[in-house]
Amino acid sequence: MCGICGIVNIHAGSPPDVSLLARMMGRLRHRGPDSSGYYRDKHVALGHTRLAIIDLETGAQPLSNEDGSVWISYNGEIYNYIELASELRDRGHVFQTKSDTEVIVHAYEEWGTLCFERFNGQWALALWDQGKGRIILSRDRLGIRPLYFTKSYGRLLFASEIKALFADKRVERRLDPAGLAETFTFWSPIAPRTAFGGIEELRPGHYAVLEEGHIEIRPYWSISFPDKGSEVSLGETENADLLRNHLIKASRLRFTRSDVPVGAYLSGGIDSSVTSAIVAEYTDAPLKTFSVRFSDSEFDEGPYQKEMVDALGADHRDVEVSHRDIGEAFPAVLWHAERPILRTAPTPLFLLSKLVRESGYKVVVTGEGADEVMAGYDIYREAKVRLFLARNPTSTKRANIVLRLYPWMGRSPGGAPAFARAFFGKGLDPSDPALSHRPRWDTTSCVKLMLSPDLRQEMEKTDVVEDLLSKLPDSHGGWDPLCRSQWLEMVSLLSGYILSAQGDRMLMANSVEGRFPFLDCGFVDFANQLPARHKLLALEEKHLLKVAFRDLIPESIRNRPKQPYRSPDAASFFYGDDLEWLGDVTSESTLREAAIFSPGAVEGLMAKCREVKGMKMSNTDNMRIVAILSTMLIYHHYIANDGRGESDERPAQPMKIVDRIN
Amino acid sequence: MNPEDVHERVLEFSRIRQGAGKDEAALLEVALFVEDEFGLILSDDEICQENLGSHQATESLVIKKLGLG
Repeated sequence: MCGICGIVNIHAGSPPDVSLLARMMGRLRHRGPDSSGYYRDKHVALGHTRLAIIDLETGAQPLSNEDGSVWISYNGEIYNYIELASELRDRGHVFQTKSDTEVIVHAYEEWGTLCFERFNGQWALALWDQGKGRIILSRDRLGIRPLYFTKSYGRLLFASEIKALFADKRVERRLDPAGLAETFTFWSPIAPRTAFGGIEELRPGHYAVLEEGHIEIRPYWSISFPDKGSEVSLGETENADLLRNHLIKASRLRFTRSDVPVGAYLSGGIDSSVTSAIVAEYTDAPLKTFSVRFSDSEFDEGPYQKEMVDALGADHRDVEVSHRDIGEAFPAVLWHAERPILRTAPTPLFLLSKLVRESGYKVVVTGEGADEVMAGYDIYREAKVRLFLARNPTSTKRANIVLRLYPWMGRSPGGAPAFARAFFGKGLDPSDPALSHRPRWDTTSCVKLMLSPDLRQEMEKTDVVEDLLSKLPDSHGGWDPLCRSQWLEMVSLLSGYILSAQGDRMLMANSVEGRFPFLDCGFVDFANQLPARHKLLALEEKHLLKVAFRDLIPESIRNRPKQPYRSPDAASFFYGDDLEWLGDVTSESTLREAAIFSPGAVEGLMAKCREVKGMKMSNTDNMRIVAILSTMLIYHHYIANDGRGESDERPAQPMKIVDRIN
Repeated sequence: MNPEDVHERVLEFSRIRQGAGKDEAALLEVALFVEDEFGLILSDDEICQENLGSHQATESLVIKKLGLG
C-alpha cells in the first residue's frame, strides 16, 4: 500500500514543478515510509511513496513497460496478479519484476482500459501513456483506495489524500457547502464531492482519461442486483457451500499474496471471526490477531474476542482505549480523515493500527464490508419492520414486532408499540426508494440546526437526497427492497466513511494496509445475486454466512445479537480534565472567523456537555458535538492552515528518480 | 412458485425459529417472513398461533393463500 500523486499539464506548458511534487510526496509519507520515487517529462510528473509489501526487491515505482512508453504510479494490491502475469507472458509480454504493479502496465498495454474489469483487488492508480498522450486515473470497484484531483492553473493535480493537493499554495482551500450537506445527512460526502470546494474524488468503479486537454470519466463497473424473483435459485445448503468457497478463496488470497507477514483484526463479531478462522483452518500462515478494547464496559467486546482467540489459538494483542485516549488523539484523526465525522469511532481504530505497526506488522485482514454485502446492519432490519408496518398501517398488532428488533424494549411494557409507531411509522411510503434510510438521514440532519444561518441557506441550494436517489440505476424498481437498501448503504456510507474515514485513513495513518475479503469482487458479485432471504432471513442478519461457517465459529459468537461497533462520543471530550485543543477550536473568535456554526448554539451545547461530563447524552447531542469538533478541526487543519500537520515533509529515502527534463 | 418451493423456504425459516419463543412478537416475525417471501398481506386475525405457530401451519396457510392447494 502506498501513496500516489502527480501533476499533469492539461495543455502544453512548462514542465511540472518537481519541488511541488516532492512536497506532495512528503505529505503522503505516512502512506509509504519505505521509499519513494518520481517520473517526470515535459507533460507529466508521477510521484510515489512506497509501503513495500509485494516484491520487496524490485517493486519500486514509478515503473514502466518494456520500452518506457507507459508509466505507472499505483497504490493497492491486485490479488490475481500471478494469474494475469501468466496470461500476459503467454501473449508475449516480458516482465522485469515480480510485482503486481508491472502486471497492471502490461495488462493496460494488452487490453487498454478494459484491463480494470480483469483486476481483483483494491487500487488507485495513474497510468501515463506517453505514446497516446493520455493519462488515466482509475480506482477500485468499491472505493477501498482513495484518489482525489483538482484542476489548478492549467494543470491537473491528483493524490491519494487531499493534503497533498494543498501542498500547492495555489490550490484554493475552502469548505464546500454541498459536501458538508452530504456529510450532515449521509455521514460522508459522496464522490465526486468532498468536504472541500474544487477538490473532487474519483468515483469508485470509474476511471478518468485526460487526453488533448479534455477529461472524461467513465464507469467500468457498478453495483447491481437481479430483479426480485430472478436471483440464484439454489437452496440454502448449495448457496452456503458456494459462499464458503468464495470466502475461503478471497481470504486465502489476502493472507498469502504478500511478501511480509499478514495479521488480522478480531472485533468479537462474526465477520472478522470468519476471516480469522479461515486462516487458521485453510492456510499455513501463523495467525496474529489484534483487537480494540474499551475501558468503558458499555463499548467493550473483550469477552467475545477472548473466546475467539482461544478457539483459534491465535497470538493476540489488544489496545485498551479510554475516553481520554480518544479525546487526545482526535485532532490527529481529523488530520488524516480530511472530512468532518459524526462519531469518534475511527479514533480507536487509529490507535489499533498504531499497535499493529509497533508489533512489526504492516498488513491486516479485516471483516469490513460484510455488513453491507451480507446485510448485517440494523438499518436493513429496521427497513423490513417499516415495510411490515406500511403494509397494514391500521393494524393493532404489528407495532409489537419492534420487540423482535430490540428486545430490551420489553423492559418498558406498553412503550414499544408507541415507539414503533412514532419512529418506524413516520413517513411510511412503500414506493419511496429511500424508505430504509430516511429515518437515519433525518436524525443525522439534526446537526444542521447548529450551523450558521448563512451556511444553512447555502446548503439548502442543493437537495443532496434527490442527488443521490437520481443515481439509482434504472433497474432498481425490480430489485428486492433489501437490495435497494444495500445499494444506498454501499454508495453513501461504505466508501466515504467505513472504508475511508474509518478504514484507509486510520490504517494508513500508521502505515498499515487493510485487506477485505468480503469486498473481493467475486464474492460481492456472488452475494449480490443471492435471494434476499439468504442475506436477511426475516430479521436474522447475515443468515447464509452463519450457516456456511457454523462449524468454525462458536455458537455464542454466531448467534450473539449484533453489536454495532461504537466508541464513546461526547464523554471522550468532557470526561476528566480539559483537553488542550478543545478551547482553541471552539473559542467564540474562531467560531466567528470560521462562520460554519452558530456560536450561541455551540456554546449552549458545550455547556450542556460540561455539566454532565459528556455522559448519558442523547444520540443527537452526541452526534452534534462530534460533528462540531471534527468540522472545526478540519477548519483548523486545512482552511486556517494548509494541511501541513505534524508530518515530515520530505519523502522517504531511497528515492527512485526518472527525470526526462534534467 | 409451487408447493415444494413453499415447503423449502418455510423450512429454511423454521430452522432459525428454534427457541425463538411463541409470544406475539415471535408470531409477528413469522408474519413478516410470510409477507416478504410470498408477497402476501395478512390481517391481524390471521396473525395467530393457529396459522403461524409451527412450520406445518405456516406452510398450509401460505399454500392456501397462494391458491396452490
